[in-house]
Amino acid sequence: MVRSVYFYYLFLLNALMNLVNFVPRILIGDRFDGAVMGVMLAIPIGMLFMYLFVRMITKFPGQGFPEIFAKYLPGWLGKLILFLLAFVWFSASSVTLVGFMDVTGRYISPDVSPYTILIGFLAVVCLGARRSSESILYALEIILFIMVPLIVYMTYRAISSPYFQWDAVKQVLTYFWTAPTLTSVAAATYIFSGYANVVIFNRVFQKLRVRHYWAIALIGGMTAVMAMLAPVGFLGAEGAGFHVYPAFSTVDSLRIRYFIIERMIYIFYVVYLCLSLVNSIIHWHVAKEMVLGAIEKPVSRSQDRGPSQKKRDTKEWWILAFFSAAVMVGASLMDQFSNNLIGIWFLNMRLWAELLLLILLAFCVLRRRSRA
Amino acid sequence: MSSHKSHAQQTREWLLKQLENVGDKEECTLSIGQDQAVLIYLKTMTDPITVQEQLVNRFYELNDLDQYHNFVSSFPSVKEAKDQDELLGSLLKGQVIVCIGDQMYMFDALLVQGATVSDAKTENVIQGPTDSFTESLDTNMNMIRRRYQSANLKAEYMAIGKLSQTRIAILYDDLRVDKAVLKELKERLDNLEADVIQSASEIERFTMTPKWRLFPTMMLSERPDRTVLNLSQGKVVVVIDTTGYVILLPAIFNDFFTAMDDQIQLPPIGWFLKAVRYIGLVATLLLPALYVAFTSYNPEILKMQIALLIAGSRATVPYPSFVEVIFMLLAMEFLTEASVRLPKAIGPTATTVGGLILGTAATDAGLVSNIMIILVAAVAITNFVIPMSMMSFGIRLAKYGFIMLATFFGLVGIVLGIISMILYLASLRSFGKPYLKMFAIRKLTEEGK
Repeated sequence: MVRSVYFYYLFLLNALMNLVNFVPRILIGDRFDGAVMGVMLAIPIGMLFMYLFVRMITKFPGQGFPEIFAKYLPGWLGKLILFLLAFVWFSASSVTLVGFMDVTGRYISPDVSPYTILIGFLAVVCLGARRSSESILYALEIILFIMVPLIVYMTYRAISSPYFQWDAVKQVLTYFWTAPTLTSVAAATYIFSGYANVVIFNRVFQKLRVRHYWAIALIGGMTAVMAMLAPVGFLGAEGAGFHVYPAFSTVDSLRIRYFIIERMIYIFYVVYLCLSLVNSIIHWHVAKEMVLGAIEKPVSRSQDRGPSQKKRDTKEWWILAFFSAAVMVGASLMDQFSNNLIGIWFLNMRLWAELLLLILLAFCVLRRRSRA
Repeated sequence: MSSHKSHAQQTREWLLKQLENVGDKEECTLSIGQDQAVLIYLKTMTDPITVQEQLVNRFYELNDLDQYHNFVSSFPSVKEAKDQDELLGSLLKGQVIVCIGDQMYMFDALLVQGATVSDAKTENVIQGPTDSFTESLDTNMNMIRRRYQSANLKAEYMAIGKLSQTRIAILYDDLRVDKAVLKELKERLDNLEADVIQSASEIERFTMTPKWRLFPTMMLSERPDRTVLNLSQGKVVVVIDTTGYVILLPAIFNDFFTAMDDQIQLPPIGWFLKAVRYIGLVATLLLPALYVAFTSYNPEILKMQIALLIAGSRATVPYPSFVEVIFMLLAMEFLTEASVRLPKAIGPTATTVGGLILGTAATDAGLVSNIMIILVAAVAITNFVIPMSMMSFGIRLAKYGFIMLATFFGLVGIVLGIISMILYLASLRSFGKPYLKMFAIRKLTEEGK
């Protein structure tokens, strides 16, 4: 059982991830086509989703989605939806992993085969995803406590740099009133989606209570603005659009003068490798639990130890092996372009999946009320 | 008169109720015909010879309760108790309560185990008590009781090991202990299947799951002051006969980085020392791995001058960096192992041979780089900064894992290693308590209250 503070960590991790993944690329791509307004719209939409979700999930203390569905939805429908949701979570992490494999090959280890690197990633993610939900949250807390100061430092260095062109930022801001595209709204709302992991982690929350929504909105908004405008400030309003990894290109223009490491990008890379691995671990954990929930009878957590545990372990391994194989195959088929395209698909799909999630949850709440 | 008498009896009953579950409590009734006297004392805190000769033998020699009464009250140090609490307090200090009729006397028979106690060997502190536990359970109990004079300190005795029948005592503060931990410990000790138990670490090994662990989830300590501090924090202590170490549990990661110095020194210094230990942990784990990653995979990460410096000092080295690192680290391990086994008289030889000859000669011959020697020295020193030896041994092994990851993946491997290690530690449990967690200390003390 953990305290509610871990809810904020889940949100923070997801928000921070969006400084590097395809979200900034999409926002920058739409910088003259309403991305600014998209971000502005995304804040209330994301917050509303989060607020509704928290309000509803607290009606089911200590229960994850598999348990809730088993109780309030017809069996086949619950299972189908669990599989669908598992697919959403799985694809979220696999796009990140494949993207990071590409970045690693490009910036850090050009001499190591990208597949070796990917196998390393997958091994850690598989081993990590098998840990208990509490353990994953504890690890997340520690890693955030190490990494967030570094991110704050890098953000400060970027903004305070004399090479940061505020004119370029102002130029992009003049497109404030341009109507946003759906894609940019979908991309920007992803920043607030960290709450969705609670669908499984709700099992371990002692008594979920979320306050300080203003702080969440503030941090989320700042993240979105940074993700879009920091590259614009460094690479130029026009130039930012030419980069595949705008965040990495931006950080690569920073230099540390008084340390044994000279280029900021290595610190940035290490920080984001850690975060994206933990993020993938969380996503795979959620996806794995959903698949398990769909193919197994719901077991209460107290019965965890026992002869059925071994069977469960084997199933877990098979699920994770399947996930890994899928990512390996995907990685060999995808290139930078198609990975980006899938990222955009994923972001659009995710917005609707989130809506579906909320509707389902609302349905379960209604069913529960009518039964009570 | 009769109501008065029942008052004395009430007091006695109250006293015995307070001492429920205190295994080393003794109650001994001496009687001649109708008359009787009762002695209540703690076996581990009193001198058995004094009790036997002065109180028990004399009773039967005098063979008369009134005379015995006079005899007992004639001692200058013997006092009559004012109230119950004084009675209990004096009992815990090592005095014998002598109940004769409606009078209750406190007879001083304190046993101070000093002669057989030697200095701490593996957990040294700069200022603070130097005494350490001995191989005798009773002596150890005496040392703990002298520092923790509370009736809430319960002691339960057991015998474990099919052949050795080793006596152990489970100690805990009844008000502060986590009952679930206690219950789990008793279950595990009951299920313990071993023929011979001779050391605290064997209990550690036989009772913990999973068996394959790199890091200890119970703490072994030889310091009474640490034991008492842990008792007051609500932990359980297992004292084992025939070994100079006690087991403290549950133990979390952070406990292994605490030395008693932190309590003795002023708070900012204590925090600084703790920070130093954690920096030492990071250094000893990562330095060799980083060396491999930086020389073989990513020299461009470092500043130009440093990269050139390392490359220059490695110019004569005829093999890849990971061979160099493992070669030197193994040499260091041999040295450490040898200096543990060597007799005291030839101990300095090992340091001279190892430190001077191996170090300088190896660089002169061009087999290893100068930087590597500095690094190995740093790794060796920082490894021993960790105060508890079980943890420092675990870390000593874990760094090879990082070297291997760095060899295969470069810098990425080190990051993978850090993540897996944090996850691994966070997934360990010590009697249901998370092993690695932010702010775990504050949580524990809150629960303790």
